[in-house]
Amino acid sequence: MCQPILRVAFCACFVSLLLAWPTRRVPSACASEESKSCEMVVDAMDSASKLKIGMLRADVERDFEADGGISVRDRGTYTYRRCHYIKLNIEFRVHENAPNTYAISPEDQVSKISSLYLAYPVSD
Amino acid sequence: MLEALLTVSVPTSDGGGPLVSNSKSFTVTACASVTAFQRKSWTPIPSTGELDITYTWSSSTGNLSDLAACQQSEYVTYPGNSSTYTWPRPPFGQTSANPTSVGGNASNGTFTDKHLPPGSWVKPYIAASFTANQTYQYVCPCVNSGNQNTLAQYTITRSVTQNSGGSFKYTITKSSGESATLNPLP
Repeated sequence: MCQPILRVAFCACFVSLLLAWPTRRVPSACASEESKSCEMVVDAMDSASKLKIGMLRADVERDFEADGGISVRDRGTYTYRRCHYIKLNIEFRVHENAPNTYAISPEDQVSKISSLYLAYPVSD
Repeated sequence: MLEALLTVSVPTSDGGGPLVSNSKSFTVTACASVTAFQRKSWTPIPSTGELDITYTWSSSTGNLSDLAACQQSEYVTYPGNSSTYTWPRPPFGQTSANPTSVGGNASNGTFTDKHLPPGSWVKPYIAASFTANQTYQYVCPCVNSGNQNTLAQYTITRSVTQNSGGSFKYTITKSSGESATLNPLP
């Protein structure tokens, strides 16, 4: 989980990276002052880019974990394990052979992946 | 849900046949509402203090797919009027959107609500407590003029207390009786 100061810092870096993306220019503030925060953002982007349609829920949960609050089997919000303020939404094709119809199965297949976004973690 | 085909036929008085319109297909959806909302099971996770509660519900028509146009959600408010709530720090390391509202389609018939511990624990540990108010609700276009309908309301209390030996423990308690404890804090 992020420390509060780092959280603010990496949020600024994340926005800066997004703004700089079309020109592929690296913001100097990130490169010189907040490199560790930015590295984590890049790590999160790398992890997200490895997620593919057809992967299993278990694959998603290597680098991401389910956010708190209400969750259902066929879709969910996931947070990056190293910083729960980095999120993405994933839809699943439910694994029909799961023994418990209410249980979330690690064999559910990814059917749709959102882009990464920033939001406060949900706790309830 | 029912697929139907509508054709209008108007008789004429001029000796000719009736005037018949083109056909128009449309879907008839039952006006369903959420019923029998109830807790199915709950699971405390002692290694983290997480509390998972699974709820289920039915459709008034007996067919969950009739709830496809309905959205269920939770609405959680934390103390104060600010748009964010920073949990007492120390010992909690967490900030929540205030209010927090998440949900999904009601035709699932079930969801699990994960009540998580804070993202981090902040030292020096001290005793602290706060309470959130949670409402489960749903919206259907044909029920209550499309306004929110309350399914259940609870309070969620998180507290950190000191053990007699000096260590601290975390407890989350929901007003419906479920609880989870992390003891001791790391």
